This record gives sequence, structure tokens and C-alpha cells, in this order.
Amino acid sequence: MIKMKLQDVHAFFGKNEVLKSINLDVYDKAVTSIIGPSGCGKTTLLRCLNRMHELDRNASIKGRILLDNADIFKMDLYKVRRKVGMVFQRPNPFPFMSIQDNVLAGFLMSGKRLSKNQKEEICEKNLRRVALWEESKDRLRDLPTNLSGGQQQRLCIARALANDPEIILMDEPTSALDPISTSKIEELIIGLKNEIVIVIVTHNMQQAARISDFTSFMYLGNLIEYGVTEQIFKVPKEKLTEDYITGRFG
Amino acid sequence: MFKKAQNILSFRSIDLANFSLFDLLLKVVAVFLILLPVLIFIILFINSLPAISKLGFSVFTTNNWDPVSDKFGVIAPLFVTIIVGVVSTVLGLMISTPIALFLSFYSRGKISSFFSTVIDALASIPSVVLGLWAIFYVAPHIGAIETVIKALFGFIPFLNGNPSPFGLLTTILILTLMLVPIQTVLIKELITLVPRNLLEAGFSLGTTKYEIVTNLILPFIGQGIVAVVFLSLARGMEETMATAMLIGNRPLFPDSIFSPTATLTSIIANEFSEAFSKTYLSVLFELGLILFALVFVTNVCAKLILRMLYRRFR
Repeated sequence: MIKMKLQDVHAFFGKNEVLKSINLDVYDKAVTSIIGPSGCGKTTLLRCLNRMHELDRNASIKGRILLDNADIFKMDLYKVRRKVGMVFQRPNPFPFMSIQDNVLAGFLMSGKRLSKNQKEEICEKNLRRVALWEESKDRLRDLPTNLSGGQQQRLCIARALANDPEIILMDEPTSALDPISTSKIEELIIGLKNEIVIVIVTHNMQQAARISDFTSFMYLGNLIEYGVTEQIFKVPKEKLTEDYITGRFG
Repeated sequence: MFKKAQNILSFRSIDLANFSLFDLLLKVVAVFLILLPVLIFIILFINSLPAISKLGFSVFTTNNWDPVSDKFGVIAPLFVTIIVGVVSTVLGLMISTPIALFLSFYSRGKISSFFSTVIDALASIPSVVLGLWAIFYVAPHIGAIETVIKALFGFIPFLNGNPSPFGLLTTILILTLMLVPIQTVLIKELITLVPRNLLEAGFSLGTTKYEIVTNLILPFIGQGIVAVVFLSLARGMEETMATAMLIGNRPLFPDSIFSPTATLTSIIANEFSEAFSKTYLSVLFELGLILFALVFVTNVCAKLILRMLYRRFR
């Protein structure tokens, strides 16, 4: 089933076209990864999916992006971002909120009133989903700055999950982390894919091969090849994809 | 601390082997900088000694300003100085915070830079020019405004005095006008310090700009706002020219926010040239000493509070 459909998407910074006519289907209950060399537009593509691209001054998008057959550019901006959550390259928990408040940030910031029980329930549920509960249950009132980098990143994933999104976008979520934290987050992604659609940008081809079901390869703003991960890595159809995967450039 | 001072003062550079004129020059300048406030304090203190020995604590107990019979009540101008500083700072923040937020979040490109230029222009108006303008173009209307306020809210204490073009209200309004551009520039600077990745994290949760401002920006710049408050408090309390031109110079407790009164600065500026007796002049120095202490304490408080907040954040 197709969750999200991109039709002829162009993205610009000023007059500079950074995405050139992207057509891509994101499937339900699957992990889709986007790979490609630096500056190829991976992150921009990801940021188009929840309209974060529009935050930049003089940025613009052309084309259609459908979420469950509804055009996201005609939907309420804030609703799109609630349905399509995001995890960033560097862990960015809110430094002045406690760990619990960070998980609940989506609710607290939009002024939703929650009872104490609801708060604890949501907090525990989502910290368990990211396997952070055991490590943090005794210090939910502490500031997140005391957590390690990997723990902070899992906290950020919990924050995104607590918002109950249908899709989570991850922008190189492990690039700032050590190998052990990385493998924990990879396990997490594999565990989550039955509940939620994940689109992940990664620099690391092995990571894409390990965790994703579909892989797209981008180069200079073009989507060169898109398909089942196994096929992309074993029998790429395009010469460029093969060159990148075998390490001839990148 | 003592050791540090010793280090600065040990002129090892005078060693002929590696003598450096530049090094020596820097040290002399540094020592001069340390000495300057100390010397000013000493001079203020020496000159106010005659008044202190003659009048003692009576300056803090009388509410009368009668140089002819040596009656100098300091407490009223001191009180007015603090009130003027505090009220104009608070009013200023209520105007400058929204402007700063507007400039950094709700306006883009040309509009934002146009307004920034206007704010800079406003900040560069000399206070004497502002005072002159206020005397001829603001003060004449203040009486009418005060009459309306009195008619509507006269039942509230301090709002039912006799309307007067020059007085507390006029001064506070003009000082607020002076503080707004400075505060706006500072707060705008603070907002640019909020890390972009936190803003993005906030937006990615589907929050509106307003929610970002109230939940992320304001808590984040809170510490900085404290610094802005103390900076403008000091600025408001020590402003002399505009205050002296507008406050009305009646060194007594104001009976309403309309009434003419005086601050420490306005008394010194208006009366030093006509201080006919030694005690009179000495009292003016004492006022200067009190003002110096007041601003010094404000700055020290700012440092302490900032340090406290900083510790809580870490």
C-alpha cells in the first residue's frame, strides 16, 4: 500500500533548483532509505515531506505530495507536521525541560491538558518503545543534558513518537553517535516498522542495507534509482548506482 | 583574587632583558581603569563629608527641600529615581519584546530590515533632542491626557492629582521611548542565539509560531532578559538630560503620577550652578554618591542573579 506519493516534486533555494522532478512512492509498514553523496538533496527531499523545507527563507516547492491521497500543501501545515514527525541529525532535546516533559513536548507546547496519570502513561509507553525506560525511569524529572548522546537521540525519537505520527522522517539519526548507540537505534527502527512508516536519510550504505526495505539513490538533485533494497544493492539497474554502491565515487 | 592582582601589578616587563613598551602601556591602562571608579568614589565621598557631618541621617528622615534653611530631604528624589527607572523599564519591555519577536519571526526580508533601520535611528536620537522635542510637542498634550485619565480612573490612588504638563508621567513616557530601541536591539540579538535545531525540533512537532515563542523562545532568552532589565534599569535611573528637562524639579514626594517631582540626577543637573552654600554643594555630591551606589548595586545584583540562573540551567 502506498502511504505517501511524490509527483514531480521540484524544490528550490532562491533560484537554485536542488530537487529536480522527484517521483517516489513511500510504502506503508516499511522502512524507506534515501542514500547518495553529500549535497545530492537527500535532506531537502526529506524536509519536503513534512513541509519543514518551507521554514527556510526563500525556499519553495513545486509539485504534489500526497499523504493518503490528500495533497499536503492543501492541508493545514501543523496537521501535516503532526502526522509526519521528524528526528534530526544531532540529538536536540529541549535543554530546559525535564526528560518527561521532553517526551510530552508535543502536548505541552500545544497547550493540551493531560491528567497526571495520562502524562505518566504516555511518557512510559513511549520511553519503552525506544528502550529508554529502564535507563531513565528514576530520573524523569532530570534535565536531558545528563543523558548520553545516544540516549538523547532515543529521547528525541520518543518525543516524535508521542505525537502519534503516521510517518517518521529520520535525517541521518546516527551520524553523531558511537557504534553501540547506532546499533541500538537501528534495532529500534526495525522494531518500529510494523507500527509506523519510516523514511531515513543515511550516509551509511551498510545501514541502508541492514534496516531498509526500499532504497532510493539520489545524485545531484535527481532520483537515479528506486527499488527494493536487495535489488538496489545486488543488481542495480543504473550504472551510476552501481558506481556509488561499489565505492567508485561518493 | 589577591594573587591575580599581584600578577597584574608585578611589572616584570621592566626587566631590561625582555622589556616591552607595549606590555607596560597595557598594564598602565589597566591599572588606570581600575583606579578610575575608586578615585571618583573617593572624590564624591570627600566632597560629601561636610554634608554628612552637618546633616547626618536627617537627610533620610525629612521630606523637605529648602536650601535656605539647610533642609535637604534625599529620600524623595531617591524614591522617584527608582520608580522612574523601574516603571520605564517595565513599560519598555512590554513594547520592545513584541517588536523584537515581530522583527525576528513574523516579518521577512525588506520589512524586517526597514524596521531595524528605524529602530537604530530611534536609538541614536540624543536624549537632549528628545527632551527638547518632548517639551514643545509632547508636554502640552500631557495635561489633556492626564485630565482624561483622572476623570476615568480618578478613584485609584496616585491617579487623581492635578494634571501638569511636566512631571512623573511625562518623564516616564519619554524614558520608555528612549529605552525601547535599546531593549529591542538587545532582545533581537538574544533571539538569534536560540539554537536553530531547537526551533526545528519545535516546528517538527506541529506547533504554531505562537507556541514556539511562548514555549521555546521566551524560556530560552529568559536569562538574557534579566540582563536587559538591569541594563535598562541602570540606564533609566541615571538618565539626566531628558529627566531634568521634563520632571518639573520639585524635590518632594509626588502625590500622584502627574505631579512634578525630581530625581537624584535632575537635582544635580539643575542646581549645581546655583548652590550658594558649602553645605548645599556638598549635598549635591552626596546625591551623586547615592546615585553611584544605587547603580553599582543594580549592576552587582544583575551579576549575582545571572550567575544564579546560569547555575540552575547547567
